[in-house]
Amino acid sequence: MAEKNRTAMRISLIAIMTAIVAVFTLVIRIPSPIGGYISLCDAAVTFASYAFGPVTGFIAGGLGTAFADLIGGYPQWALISFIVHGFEAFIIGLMVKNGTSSGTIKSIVSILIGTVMAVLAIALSGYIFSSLFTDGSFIKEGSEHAALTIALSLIVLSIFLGFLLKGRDSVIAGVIAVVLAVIIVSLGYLTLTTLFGLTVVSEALLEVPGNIAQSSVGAVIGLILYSAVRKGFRNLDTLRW
Amino acid sequence: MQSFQDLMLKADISFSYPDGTRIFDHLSFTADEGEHLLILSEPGSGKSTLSRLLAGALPGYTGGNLDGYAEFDGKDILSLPPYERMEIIGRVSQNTDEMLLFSSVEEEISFPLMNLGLETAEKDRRIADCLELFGLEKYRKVSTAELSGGEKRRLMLSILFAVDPCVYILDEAFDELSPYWRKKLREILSGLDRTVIVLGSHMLSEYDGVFSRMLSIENGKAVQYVPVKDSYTPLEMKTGNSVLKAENIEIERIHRSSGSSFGLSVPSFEMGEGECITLLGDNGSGKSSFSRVLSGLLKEKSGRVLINGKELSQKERRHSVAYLMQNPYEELFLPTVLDELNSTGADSSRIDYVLSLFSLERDAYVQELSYGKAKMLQAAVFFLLGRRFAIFDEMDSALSSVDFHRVLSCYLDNGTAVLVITHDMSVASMLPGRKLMIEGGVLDEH
Amino acid sequence: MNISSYIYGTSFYHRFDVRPKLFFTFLFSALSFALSSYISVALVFLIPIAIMILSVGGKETWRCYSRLIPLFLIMILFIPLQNRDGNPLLVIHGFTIITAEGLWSVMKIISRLGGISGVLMLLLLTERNEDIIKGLRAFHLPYNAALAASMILRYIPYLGYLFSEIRASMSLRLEEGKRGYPVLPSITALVIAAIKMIPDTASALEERGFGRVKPAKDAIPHPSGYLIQWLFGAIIPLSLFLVR
Repeated sequence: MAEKNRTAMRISLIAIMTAIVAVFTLVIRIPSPIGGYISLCDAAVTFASYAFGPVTGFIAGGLGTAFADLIGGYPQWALISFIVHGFEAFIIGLMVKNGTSSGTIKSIVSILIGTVMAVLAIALSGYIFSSLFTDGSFIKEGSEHAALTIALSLIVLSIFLGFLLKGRDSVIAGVIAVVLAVIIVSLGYLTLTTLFGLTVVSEALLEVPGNIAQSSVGAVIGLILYSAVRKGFRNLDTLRW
Repeated sequence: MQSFQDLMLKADISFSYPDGTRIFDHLSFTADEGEHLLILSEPGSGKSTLSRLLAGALPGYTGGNLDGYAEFDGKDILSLPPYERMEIIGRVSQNTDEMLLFSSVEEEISFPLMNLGLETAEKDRRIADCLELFGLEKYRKVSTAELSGGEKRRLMLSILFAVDPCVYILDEAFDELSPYWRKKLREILSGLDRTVIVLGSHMLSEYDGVFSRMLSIENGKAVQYVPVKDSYTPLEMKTGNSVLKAENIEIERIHRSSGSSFGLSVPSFEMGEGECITLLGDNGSGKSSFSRVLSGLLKEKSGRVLINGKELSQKERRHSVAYLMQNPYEELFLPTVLDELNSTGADSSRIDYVLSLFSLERDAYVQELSYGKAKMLQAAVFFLLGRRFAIFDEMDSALSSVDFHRVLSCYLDNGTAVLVITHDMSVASMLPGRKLMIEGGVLDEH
Repeated sequence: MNISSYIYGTSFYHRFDVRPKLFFTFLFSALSFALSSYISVALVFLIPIAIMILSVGGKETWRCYSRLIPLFLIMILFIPLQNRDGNPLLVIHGFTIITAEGLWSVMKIISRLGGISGVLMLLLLTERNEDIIKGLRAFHLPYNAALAASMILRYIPYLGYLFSEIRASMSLRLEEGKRGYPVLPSITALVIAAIKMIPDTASALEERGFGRVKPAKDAIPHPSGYLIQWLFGAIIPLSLFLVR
């Protein structure tokens, strides 16, 4: 029989995982430690990238949250959600791309790519941070220095930690994944909503604590979800591509 | 003579699942061109597996070991990828949700026709004709999520008829249809000039005169169908102390695709502990809605539910009445069989007893159980929970008669009251106790 | 679960073909970043509201925009924090409360947010999801992507329904805790159920013919007044840009 064309499988995987992210964002809520409710979108995003890799995670996480925004009555955030959560899934997926045994070259390449992208995100938001209480211009003298310092120290830290990563089964990788989720989501929304001029900086700042709570709890639950699903469904890895 | 032989379907299939279970051992049958064939056998004997193998869903992405052939028009269709079998063979599957792909009725029916490469005019004609044939022409733009079970079934049928392959396979297609549509389907099939294979688990009156031959699947082989009179020891009911009552219940149900609403009235209902009551009624009449009201999952518009004279809140009902949903997977959510049984809080000796009673393996993974075994696990879990009242929603269509009988007798021997929901009269006639029926929106004695 | 915002209507905007509508939505949103006068700011905010009232009525328009009002209010409250060193507009006891630049920047942002939200909501209110996807195909959205988008819209309500069934069955089996039923088993069960559907879905796609010859683009016929619709879609946003 002819070689099976995996396109149908890929489309189905992406469609269903995107729907899962959307349902998690729209429907699944838990009481928040700081009052109110938080949506578990980051749990689904983290799960998608852990289980199926950076590309599927990017599409599922980005499109899923974007669809949720479009359907749920907040279409104006769809593009931003797509970028933030897509990026979140992509970075986390890259960091844990290798299974339990990672080849050295693969690890270094993925760590470098992941670091570069994380650094770019952080540098960009560093520029924003530095001009928060001034006139809103994005570049000011001295701020570049601050941004570069943050970026460089993170590069060194990531490379150091990268050698300890053993992929999806590593606890450290899990911790880093949660931290990255928090950073990318909170800074990402802050940066992009002001960059796209959809809100004033002061309002965007108000959202940061909520985003931190939501992304941290969400990412942790996502990791737990990943191990729970793997326990109950033993062939999970066969669906990766 | 030559062409007559070519358009005959000749099959000899051996198949085992990925886990090694052998389902078919040289299952061999033929179907002449234009012949209408009925295959009747118990749940779990492999009917759906056969239809999936012929249509190409198996081995597919699920895997398994396939040997043999299915010859049609000089080709072995089992060697063709599923998308190349479209014009030869098509099926309506038992579980409509596994074949629904898109959000609107129109998209769903256009997709296969576009893949056939039809001219737009021809495509539009087929869509219009087939939707009308099954009464769905007004539902073109409706989202498939809003269709009822029967409407989804009719959509699957219109898709099959629109694609119009040489061989039609209908897996329990009469299931879930209202009596009107069952009669209509029977008429349509009688006049259909194609090879038709219908798969079912019970003999229906609508099957009369439609088929030239009837087969059955036994031990992985195709045999001549012989109506068997099941002989089981009659089930005994016990008497208990508690009585579950429902008074003046009015339930409002909304028909999502058309937006209209209709109601179900239950003036009075009574079930004593240890009793067995059979609830009959056509598909869509409200049997599940009533069960949900009794078990606290659905709020009634008006009326009361009481146990021993004490009115119950929805929360209290949930802990008094065990409702075994039709799809067992919706009620199972832990990794292994043992995890599920442990979650009931029962002690290990009781769990061991239940494992053997329901023929379950303690370390088996829930997601790897067959449908029938999952159903047994579902029954085992609720058995351990020890509710005094239980509702079996269409359990007879998921288990072989032997297993169904076994589960029912376990519950009845335990003194539990069981409300058995079924739409199969032959099953109903074998059960002890009263028979109730929903007709014209009212639940009453039969 | 209602995934469609579509409301049936026969207004002029309803009758617009989806392609100029998509173009208009995109161009309008893009040009809302190029506001240079108070008039254009006002127009960006008001045009979508006007079209929406004409298409779906005042009550629905209010329902859509009322979600944004808390955001607008917060932004208005934060005007004093914007552009602190500019031309003071409002001075109390020698303390500058609002500057001209601050007011201008907040007005720009409110109008942009309202405008973009408005045209996006308009699109979703006056076009069915499947038609939006078909329209995107005309703008070269890949065939497989459009397929996946349609499938996503099928699975979102279905998985939502599955989740509520799982929660219902948990309520039958478990004791309710302080904060409701445990979340982890229910989301695990949902995700497992969803993943189990993946191979079945892939098979179903192939049974329905996916993998055969790639179907030709389904040409949507041009309705009457097609050219005029395109002109509308181009002129309105461009005029915003040109108004100074």
